[in-house]
Amino acid sequence: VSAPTWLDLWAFARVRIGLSKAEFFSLTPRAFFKMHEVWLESQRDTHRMIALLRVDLINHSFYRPTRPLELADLMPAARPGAAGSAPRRRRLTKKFRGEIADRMRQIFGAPATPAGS
Amino acid sequence: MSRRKIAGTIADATLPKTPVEIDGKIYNLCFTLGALSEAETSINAELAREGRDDYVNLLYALPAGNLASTRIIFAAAVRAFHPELTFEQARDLPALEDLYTIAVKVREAWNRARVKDKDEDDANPTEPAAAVA
Repeated sequence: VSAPTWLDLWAFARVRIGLSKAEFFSLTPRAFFKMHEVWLESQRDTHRMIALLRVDLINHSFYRPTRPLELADLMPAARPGAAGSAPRRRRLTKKFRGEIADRMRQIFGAPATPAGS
Repeated sequence: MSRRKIAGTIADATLPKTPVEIDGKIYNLCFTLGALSEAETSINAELAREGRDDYVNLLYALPAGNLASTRIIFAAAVRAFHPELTFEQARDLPALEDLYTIAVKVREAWNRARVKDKDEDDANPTEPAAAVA
C-alpha cells in the first residue's frame, strides 16, 4: 500500500469529511488523522445499525434460519475479540488460574520458603 | 454580541505551539497542513532549480537540516501564528547564530504535529509558559 499523497488527503477531507479547503490546510496532520479515526468510528456505527436491522428482519421472516443469526454473522467487526471490539471474557478455569499464578511468580519471583521447612 | 475568533489563533487548543526566541521576541511555531504544503513546495522548487531529482515529503519526514531548508521550514511554520509576516520576511528572520536552536525547535514542532504512533497517548500537547507571549 503506497502512502497517501496530498491529493488523497485533500479529496478525503473535502468529500468524506466535508471540510473546506481553508479548514483542511489549517489543521495539523495529527488533528486531521484524528478526524479520520472518528469518521471511521461513525461509519462503523452506521454499519452496525443497518446490520442490526437486517438481523431482526431475517430472524423474524417466514423463512428464518434454524439457528438465529447474530450481529457478528453480518458484521465480522462486531465479533468479540475482533479488532476494534472489546476483548472476549475468558472463563476462570483451573488451567487459566495456573497460568495467572505462573505469571505472578515470573513478575514477583517465587515466594520465599521459611527456613528449616 | 461580538463573536470571538478562536480557530487558528494562539488560543486554539487544538494547535500545538512551540515557542522560539529570536532577538528577544517569542515566535510560536506550528505545522499545519498549509505550512507543510508551503514549505514542501518551496524546498522541492529549490531542489528542482539545482537540477536534483530527489524531493521531500514533509508529511513523513523532515529533510536533512541545512541552512536553506531550515530557513524555509521555519518561515512556513512561523506564519501559522504570525500571519503579519510575509514568507520572505519570515525566511530572513533567523540570524546564522540562531539557526541551530531554530532547527531543534522546528523538529520539536514537527513532532508535535505529525500523526502519532500507535503507542503514543492522546494527551493534549504540552504548552510551555512562554507560548502565550
